[in-house]
Amino acid sequence: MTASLPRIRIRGLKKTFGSKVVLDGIDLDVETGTSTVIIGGSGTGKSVLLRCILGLIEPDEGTIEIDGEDVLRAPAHRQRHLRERIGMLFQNAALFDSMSVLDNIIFGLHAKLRAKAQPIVHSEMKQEAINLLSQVGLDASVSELSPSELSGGMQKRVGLARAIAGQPDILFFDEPTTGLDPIMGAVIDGLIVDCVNRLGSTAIAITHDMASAQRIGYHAAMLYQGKLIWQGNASDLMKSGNPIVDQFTHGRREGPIRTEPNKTQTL
Amino acid sequence: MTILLTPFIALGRNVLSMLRQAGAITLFGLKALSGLVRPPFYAGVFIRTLIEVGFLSLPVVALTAIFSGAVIALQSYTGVSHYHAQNAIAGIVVIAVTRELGPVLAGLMVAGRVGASLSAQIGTMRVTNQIDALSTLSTDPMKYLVTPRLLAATVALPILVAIADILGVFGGFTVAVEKLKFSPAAYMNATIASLHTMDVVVGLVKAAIFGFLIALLGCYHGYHSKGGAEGVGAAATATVVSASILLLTFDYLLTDLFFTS
Repeated sequence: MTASLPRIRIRGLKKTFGSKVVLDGIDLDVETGTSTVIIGGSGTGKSVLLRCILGLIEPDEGTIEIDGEDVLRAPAHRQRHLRERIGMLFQNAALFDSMSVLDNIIFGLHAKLRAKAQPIVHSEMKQEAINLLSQVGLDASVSELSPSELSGGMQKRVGLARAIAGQPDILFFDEPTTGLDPIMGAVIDGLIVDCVNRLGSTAIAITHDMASAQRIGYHAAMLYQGKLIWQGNASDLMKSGNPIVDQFTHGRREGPIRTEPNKTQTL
Repeated sequence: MTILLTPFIALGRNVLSMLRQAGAITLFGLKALSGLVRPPFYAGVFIRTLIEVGFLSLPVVALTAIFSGAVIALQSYTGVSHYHAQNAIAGIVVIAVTRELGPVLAGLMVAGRVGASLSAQIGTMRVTNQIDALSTLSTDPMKYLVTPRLLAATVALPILVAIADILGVFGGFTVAVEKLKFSPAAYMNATIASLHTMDVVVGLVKAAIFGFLIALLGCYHGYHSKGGAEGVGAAATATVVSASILLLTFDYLLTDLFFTS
């Protein structure tokens, strides 16, 4: 019996910026249809890891496979094709501020249809975008607003609608609840779980919000000093048995993670 | 010994840095130009930039051109009247405007107004992850953001300069007729006699090159801006300064190329 291929397999991923080692040999498997949450302090390289997978940053060493195909060594057109399967919700939502809310979502629909060489029927786009807005709990009244007129939570919802517009196989979430109040954070997490389940997507979320991590994730991993020091079920996050993970998840000042500057990694 | 060498080391480092940046800007421009021959083409971005660079710059370029033509007429009158060569004023105005003042002043105005704006727009998109978002939405940021802007500025500036040429000559005509009491018909005849197709065409070629350079530097500095609002501001400043210097340098080189012989 052969084991099923993980949707994303990362081996020996390294990335340095100058003398700072940000990722130091990351190994990670993300199974198809599961959600993995990567936790870690600020500046530990969580976003760099996502950006390496997305091709926004070139790693120094290692492999990133999507369905067994090495993204880093594939020809450019294959890299594009593999990455077209990924949707991303950015930390600040990254909505295009020169466009209305509706146009942001239509852009997501257009881009994915163009990539799949499917015909674009403009009359259907608007209705499709409004449907996506309703899926993230927004009504059509916000569609003509500009992103700057929305609250942080609404921007995240629009960002989520844009990310799922192309019905991606893989979804990334970069700090989805940062800057939101706990209730809105829970709402966004709920929407994320709904979207991932509805699309049957594989998801990776990075966060340092423990409540969010447990709501979104099935699996969890902790990144510390460039390495994944613990991997397990998200439900075990608060009782991992790893002193570094326990200090982080319980938010204790005392422990192996030093908070003083210039000693080790800061939180 | 080391102390003596320090200024030369610093100079060498700066020269190398400048050459490195010139190379990076050239490669950036070539990559953007390659987008002209590969679909998809973003006509909407092209038209919006054409309006922003061309139509919205028209008032400032028009005013600059009118007053420049007027000043040239006044200044040349005070100069040539000593030699009783007042009839040369129309020729001086038309040559100065079509060869130099039209393209250079329009270029400098557009560098200040549009170069900074392009840089700030793209820089803000960079620091707020909007450029990364484009990449994740299967859109090549170079093709979407840079290529249409380069093309639009290259097309818009010659149109602006053609209008500036007409308005500059009109400014000179107004001063000559209203203030210096020239005969309108004689002034117009002298203007037409001094107007050479080559002067106008070279001015428009200069304008196209200036438009390309302004957009290239605006997009380059914006695309590579870092560090939030401060970085975006620094990119806009770098664009205006470098575009102005490069524009005047290219003006000299093109003038030398087309007119010296």
